[in-house]
Amino acid sequence: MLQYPSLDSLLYYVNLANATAYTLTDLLVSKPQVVEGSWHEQVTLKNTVVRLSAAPGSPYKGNKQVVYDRLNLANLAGLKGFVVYAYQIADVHGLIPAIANYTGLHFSTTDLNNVPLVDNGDGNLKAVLTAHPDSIAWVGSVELIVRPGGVPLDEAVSVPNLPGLNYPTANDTDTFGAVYLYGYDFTTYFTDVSMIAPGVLSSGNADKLVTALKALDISSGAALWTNTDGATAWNLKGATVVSNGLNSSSLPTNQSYKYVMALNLAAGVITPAGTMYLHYNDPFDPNAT
Amino acid sequence: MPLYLKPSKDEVYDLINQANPNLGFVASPLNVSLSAPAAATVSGQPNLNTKTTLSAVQGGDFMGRKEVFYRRRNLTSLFRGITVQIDLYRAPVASNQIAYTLYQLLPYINAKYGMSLTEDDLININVLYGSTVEGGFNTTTVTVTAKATSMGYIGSFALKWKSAPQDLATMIGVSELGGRLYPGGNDFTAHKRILNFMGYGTDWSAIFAANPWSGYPTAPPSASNTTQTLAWNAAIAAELARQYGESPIPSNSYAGWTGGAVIHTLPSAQLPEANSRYYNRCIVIGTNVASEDTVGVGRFYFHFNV
Repeated sequence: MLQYPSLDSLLYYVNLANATAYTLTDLLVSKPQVVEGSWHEQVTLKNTVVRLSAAPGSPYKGNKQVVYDRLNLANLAGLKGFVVYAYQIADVHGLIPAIANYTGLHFSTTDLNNVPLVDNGDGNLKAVLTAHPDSIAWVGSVELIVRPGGVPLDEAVSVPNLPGLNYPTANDTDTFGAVYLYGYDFTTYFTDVSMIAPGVLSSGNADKLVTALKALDISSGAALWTNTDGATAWNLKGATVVSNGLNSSSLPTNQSYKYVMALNLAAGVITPAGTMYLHYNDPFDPNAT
Repeated sequence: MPLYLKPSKDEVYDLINQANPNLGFVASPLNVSLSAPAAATVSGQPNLNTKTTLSAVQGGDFMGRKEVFYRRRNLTSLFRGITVQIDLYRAPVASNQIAYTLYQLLPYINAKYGMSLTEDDLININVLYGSTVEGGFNTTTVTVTAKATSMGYIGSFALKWKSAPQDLATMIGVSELGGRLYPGGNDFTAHKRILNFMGYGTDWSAIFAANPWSGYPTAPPSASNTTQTLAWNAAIAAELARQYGESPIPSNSYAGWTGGAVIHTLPSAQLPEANSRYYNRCIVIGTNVASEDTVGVGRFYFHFNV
């Protein structure tokens, strides 16, 4: 059980060897001691001894020493899949969750010395994992290349309710002026349209635009455009020309037109809604070559 | 830029990044995959109608999964009140044959309405060449429906296709015209005699009447004669020699020459350059290749009246 947390791993092998079923709450585990060659005058190839004591409140009593092998971290080097991605992690202890995510190795803060990660010079960081002397499961040291990445989506995406996709206006029950007039070419009415200065439309200009709109529009408002006090739909009375002139790539407009007029209907005229863009080009000159 | 610049899937990635500016990495198809969208509701968030699960692309910037909610645009709402119409010429085909597929019209829809709809967004359908005619042009209206897997759209809209007048700009694919040259070419350093003006201004009526060509059943040529057989007519050579001091016709054979077998009645749409004001007949004779070097290039116009 290589990847178990250290205490779980020790417990697993105690239970396996003795057909017991201790849990973590049953036993207290002493700090590990190094064993070299023999222990209590018995030859052993194991490298570690701990003393297991019955935990207060457990149904057990007494204690027992067991010998076992702590694994050398150095042997992790070169194992396929011993790869970790992490983002904005400063030190080894901070890296522990990422190591668990990517390798299943469940180190605890008592397993590893906490040292800063260092720049590996190639866009990656380098972590030196060195076993703390008190680690139940590990000895030795290994270098781990930490590649940038591995941001946990479930934590990082803290706003799961995304504000969109948007319609041209905030109200999705509108008839969207920006879409409604987008497809029309007002070049035929260049003289009338191009002369209109930004600001509130004069009644004469509103009449001219109504004429153009009625001629070009093929949709639901085609016959309804008007220049009338009080009408709440298709009404150019009091409409405001926001801008009129050369098209710009910063506008949500059709860039195949040279000019565009941005038009807002008066407050209270709710159909179509939002800013409308009237596209037009220089008038066609059949003699221009 | 268009009203909606990006394909809807890209828009969803933008939404994720805008709402979560501290991801550490910019979410993109390279590091996060999106599950097929599904209808969803979120309490207190009436705008949200869709959920998708973000999954980290293995070994990359992210790890794990996260479900997010957003709004897919309803095409019915987006095009509310709008007759979505594409005017695009289609050579007539039999009724109810395919005029266009939706995917063929998609670039035109996007351009006209400022959209960035993709084949991932819409179910392809055939737009048939129907029998409905408006103002002389065939029209067909179809219902365009969003794919269930579209990341950005739900719903449907009516699309009207109209076979517009054919566009000169696309019809005239060859705008650099060749072939308008002087007979024999514009390189006058090696130029041959050009025949087009020799005898053009001459009234050949009397000469032809007095010297009938082979094939005329009677002399002089009559209104009933529309063809004649080319044969050497010494009177033509003599008249040309009289006018120009030389006769370009070197021999007594027209073998291989072109056009002379037809007596054109003027005025003729085939011969707008002929002088129909003073003549009612014209024979046009072009030299053959073998004769070009010695006779000249171009063709004779022999006008006469009957």
